[in-house]
Amino acid sequence: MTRRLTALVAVALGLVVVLLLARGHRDVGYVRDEGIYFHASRAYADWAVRGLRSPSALFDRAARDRAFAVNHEHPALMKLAGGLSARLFSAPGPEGQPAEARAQAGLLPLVPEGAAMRLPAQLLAGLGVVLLALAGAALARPRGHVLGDTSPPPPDLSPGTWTIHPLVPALLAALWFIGLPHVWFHAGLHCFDVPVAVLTLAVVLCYRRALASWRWSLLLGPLLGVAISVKHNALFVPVLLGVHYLASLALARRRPSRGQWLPLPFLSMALLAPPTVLALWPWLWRDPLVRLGEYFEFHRLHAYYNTEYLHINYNQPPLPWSYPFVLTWATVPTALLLLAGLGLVLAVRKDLSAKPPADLPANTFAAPLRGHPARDGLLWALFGLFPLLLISLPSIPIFGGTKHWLTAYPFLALAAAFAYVTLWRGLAPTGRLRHLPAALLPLLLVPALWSTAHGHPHGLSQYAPLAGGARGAADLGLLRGFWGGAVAPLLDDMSRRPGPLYLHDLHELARLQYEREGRWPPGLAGAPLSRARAGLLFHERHMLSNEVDLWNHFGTTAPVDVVTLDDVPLTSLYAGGN
Amino acid sequence: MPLDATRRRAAVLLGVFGLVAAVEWIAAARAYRPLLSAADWDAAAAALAALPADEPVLLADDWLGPVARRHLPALQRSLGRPDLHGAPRFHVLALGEPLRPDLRADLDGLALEPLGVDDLGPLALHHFAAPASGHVLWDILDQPALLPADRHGPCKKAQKTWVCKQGRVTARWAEVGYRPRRCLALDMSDGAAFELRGRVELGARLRGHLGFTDFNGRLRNDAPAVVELEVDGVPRARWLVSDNQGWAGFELATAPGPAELTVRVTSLLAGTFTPGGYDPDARRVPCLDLRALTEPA
Repeated sequence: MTRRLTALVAVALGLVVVLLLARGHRDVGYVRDEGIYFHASRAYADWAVRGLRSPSALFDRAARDRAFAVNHEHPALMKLAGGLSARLFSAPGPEGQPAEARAQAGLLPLVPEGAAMRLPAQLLAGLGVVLLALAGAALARPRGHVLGDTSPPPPDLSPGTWTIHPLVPALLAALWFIGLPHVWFHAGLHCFDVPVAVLTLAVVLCYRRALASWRWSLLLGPLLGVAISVKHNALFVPVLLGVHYLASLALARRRPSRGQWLPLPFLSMALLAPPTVLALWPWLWRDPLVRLGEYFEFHRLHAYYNTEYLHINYNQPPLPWSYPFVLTWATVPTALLLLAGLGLVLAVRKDLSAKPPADLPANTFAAPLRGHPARDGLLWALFGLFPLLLISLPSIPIFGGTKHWLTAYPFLALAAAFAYVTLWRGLAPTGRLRHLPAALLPLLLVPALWSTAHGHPHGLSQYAPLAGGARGAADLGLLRGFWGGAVAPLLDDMSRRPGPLYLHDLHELARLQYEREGRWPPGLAGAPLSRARAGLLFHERHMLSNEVDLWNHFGTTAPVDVVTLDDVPLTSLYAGGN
Repeated sequence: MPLDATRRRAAVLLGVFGLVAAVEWIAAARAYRPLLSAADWDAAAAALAALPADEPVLLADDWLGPVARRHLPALQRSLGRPDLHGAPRFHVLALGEPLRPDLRADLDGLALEPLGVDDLGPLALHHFAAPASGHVLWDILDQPALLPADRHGPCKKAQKTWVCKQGRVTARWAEVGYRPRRCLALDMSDGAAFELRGRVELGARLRGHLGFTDFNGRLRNDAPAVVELEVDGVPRARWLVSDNQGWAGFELATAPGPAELTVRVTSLLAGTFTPGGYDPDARRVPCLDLRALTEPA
């Protein structure tokens, strides 16, 4: 009954998250990258729909390349899903615009085109919440998890045994993740960062099962392929899983069997992930090696964009190693972070001392670690720390703020839930006090949820309470909102200004998306500053250059309107006589 | 019942986490609300209106600038000051600490006397005197007597810009070292010298700055510029300034009284280096400020 209730609550929580994201992110402006992803999504979906109508169209090389050449530096899956979602759920754009400049009506026109394209990512965020809740609930088991043991734990009725309700760690793990302002912000976008974080979690959970089950092993390879088809972060997953596997073998302190040297889970990843990636990314269907080479080269030589960190603008290496750690502290409430840190320490310590039973039968190729301790702590530590350590390398670009290490957060969330369970188990309160673990959960979670709710729709610019929120971050000299998205509150005011408008960091394709949905002020075209009669400015340290250009052009340093978060300017609208 | 060691440790750790979370609740209540209301801005506007018009009013919290300038036009006239020399009295509007590192840098050695603070709610207006700062006798940005020229002859004035054979010079705002400065932007060809010459009233010192704009240009060109000063036809000073010096200050002691002044700036390389090679059209522009200051009162 408890298991079913937990599963029901997990699914319900996931659904609530999807609904809130779908509605709430209608107020979140379209960020720069979304502009190009919207454009690519339409091209990909057009190709897919043509292929559905006439499958031979799928093999027309020229047409396929034309469609998938757009934004081919990222895999196609999320954009394809977004485009197809728009074909299903997009409301038509306003009458009176040329057909190519207005959103087409989908089969079930429910939401604006951009919102429809964001839906697949939001569904994945909901899936992430479900997975975290279920994985968190499993931490309530009174004994450590043994790989391959899927039976429900027998009720332990011995006196003195203390149990915690599975919903407590379930809610903690799920809300630790989705309740963070930056996770919430990214979770609702038509982008790849939260989707790849969720799929990384899914691959890791699948891997745990695959270590003791051939069926899960067969799923593992394609699932990894799907994750890689979302974003390149997933390319690191098999490496980290390999480290975990080797560590597990070493910690077993017994000679590995022949089957353990070439285990099915890794064979599955090696053999089934590449064709999955190939199948899901039609750009690679022609010259796959050349195009894969271009893809790796693009990311290996990624530009160093500007970003502010502690009042310094960084745009070339060496970049500060402390960046991901300070930014994580500044955006994740400290109590949650401390809990995750303690969870990692406790879980790794436990893993290092755990041994498989002496009577364990020889492990096979298909179930290489069946009966072994799960060693989740090592998994959480590897996946929770690697993304931060990678970004801390002085040559790795740091322009994207926290979004580049969101893949760590699901594992930190599970570590935090583990610490919470372990501590309460150690204290083992009885009587009325046994409800304390559930009662005190809001104490830990509310600062994050408060931060998220208050920061919405500008969650990208929100910071944790101890960092002082947006004002504190501005004082500390941290980045504010690098993506040109905080423009929706200005649309009304912009409609009263003469055009054309200098768009600054708002991508023209994002502007076109507003226009396709009838949200952009009619007749207000974008233009270079030299011809503009009004101008936008998205505030960042390095953007001061553009701001002084606006002052010089309009002859004033006072904007006519400013979007703020707790007094901190995010976007200004300038206008003047020139 | 005494707790055993495990229970005690768990209780302490849970207590610590609970305490940190409780502090976060309080911090969230402080952080997650706007501090400034329309009434606060009105109070600040009234306080600023009562100040003498020739005394600078600065904003301590740079990030608040766009909102503050929208409500307080008085802040606009002090925006982009070269430094705090030449301002015997000035005022700082601040949410917290008035003398932030940027303002301290602009003092550049000036001793301050705090004169008082007006409490304006969340904001406070701090008044300072800098007795050693002297007065501004003359400023290159508003001195029409100086005649600009390059080596091909005089430049022509068109609105705020001088158009020369080898480039153009504009009095404008520029970003230098990620701060706004009002200065003379010298957009000249590689190796070209821009010269201003005329009869001016000098004080005890000539004080100026040179910096490069903008940040992208600075990233892709490190060539220095040369600033030269001549008084009554005699070369008096020459500075080599590179962009890693930021808003580089320079100063020359002078004899008070009228004098023939020549200011010459030579930009060695104005273009930028890109992966495709040297691009003379993508510009990195030196920006100059120069003022004559009196002895301290």
